[in-house]
Amino acid sequence: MDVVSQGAEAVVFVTTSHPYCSQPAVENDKYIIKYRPSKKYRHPKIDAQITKNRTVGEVRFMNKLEKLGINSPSVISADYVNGIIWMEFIGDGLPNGDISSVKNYLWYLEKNDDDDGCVSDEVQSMLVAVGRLIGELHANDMIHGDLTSSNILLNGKEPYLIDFGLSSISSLAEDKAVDIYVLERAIESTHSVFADSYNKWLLKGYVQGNKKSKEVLARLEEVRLRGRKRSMLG
Amino acid sequence: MAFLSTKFPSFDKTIFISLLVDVDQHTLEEVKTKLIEGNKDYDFAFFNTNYIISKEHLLNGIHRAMINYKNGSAKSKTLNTEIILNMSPVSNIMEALKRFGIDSSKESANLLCVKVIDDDESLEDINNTLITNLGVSKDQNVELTDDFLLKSVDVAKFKKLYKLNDAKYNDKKPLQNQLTRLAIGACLLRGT
Ligand SMILES: Nc1ncnc2c1ncn2[C@@H]1O[C@H](COP(=O)(O)OP(=O)(O)OP(=O)(O)O)[C@@H](O)[C@H]1O
Repeated sequence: MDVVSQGAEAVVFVTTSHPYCSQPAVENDKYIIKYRPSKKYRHPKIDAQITKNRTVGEVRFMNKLEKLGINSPSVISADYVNGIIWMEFIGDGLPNGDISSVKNYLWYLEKNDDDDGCVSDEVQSMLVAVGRLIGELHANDMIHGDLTSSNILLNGKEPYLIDFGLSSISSLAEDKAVDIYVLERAIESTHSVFADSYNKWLLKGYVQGNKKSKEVLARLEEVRLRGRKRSMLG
Repeated sequence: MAFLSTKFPSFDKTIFISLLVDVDQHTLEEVKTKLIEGNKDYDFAFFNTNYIISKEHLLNGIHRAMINYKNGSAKSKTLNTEIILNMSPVSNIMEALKRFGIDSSKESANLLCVKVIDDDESLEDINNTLITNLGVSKDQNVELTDDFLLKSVDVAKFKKLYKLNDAKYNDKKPLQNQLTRLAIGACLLRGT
């Protein structure tokens, strides 16, 4: 069992050992364990409640995605008391061995390819597919809450969403617009050279995935404006 | 001799699973009576096979019951009942027993016997004793497979129980796999 990530809230492990089944109905033979350790600075009772609520919330969101057929890891098991989720491992890895997140993939191209390679048709269709996926999510009134290029993994050419610790249900255009805005800003800061093209392609896909995108896109303009004002004020 | 056994990486116990097919109504009624009497020879989780879609689905229920016991968050008095409860998408124990437990409503039914045992117990002995106690023939003891389970399930009823009628299914993937994933999700979210 290896640690893949140690975030503020959770430790993520990868393992080849399934918790209960030797021939499970999932495609990868590796599994992810997402563990939310208890926080010593919280009161034990409150801590236990928070851990349970967040773990349940994430499983519930993932189950909803599974039902809707929206690309995301399948849940394999959960232990709410100890804050553990077992899930399907997503991704086929990059040639350099890194996890095949959209972020790592785009960085890999920046390092190993020329400019044309970074904005190739292949990159375009991948980002359009990511946009479409987010569009589908929002069409079902589901808000990711923490969209970044590292929270989208690639399995071959297919994008999958992960990390639903901050996810919620909402039909408000505002919440959807903010979700997109967070991703736009993440793209600008992690992939600054080609951010304009990348964001354009994401929106192109978004419109395909969400039939009711008009109000959201109008709202996105406002959210961007607010963001700009805020950054001017410092 | 046809039984399955497996172990879960984080538990010291062995899981014993034995399938008896076409068990007659009289025997099924008798097993029920012995269970009510608390007869030690019948210390198994007994299932019918109408709502178990795959071995993975069953194993998830057993695993989940063991986690709940370890965490002190079990809702049933015995591990066997907790296993049955954890196959169900609804929290009501009577309801779970009715759906998943012994089905003596017909002339005969399949009986799936599950037991969580300590490492040093002989699986062969347990299986032999089970067959002898129930008075079934050895030919009725067949190996549990996913194909068998899929054939025993009425998919329409299954989808209704697990509230999967509104789910989106992918024609390119085996239905059994998709139902397994969705049912496990529903079981994990039971009572949350
Ligand atoms: N299903 C999965 N398949 C493959 N890798 C995964 C999977 N889930 C998580 N990871 C890896 O683990 C990392 C962290 O997972 P996740 O974002 O869910 O945890 P987190 O603690 O909320 O992270 P952070 O606090 O950094 O946002 C991901 O960026 C990814 O690299």
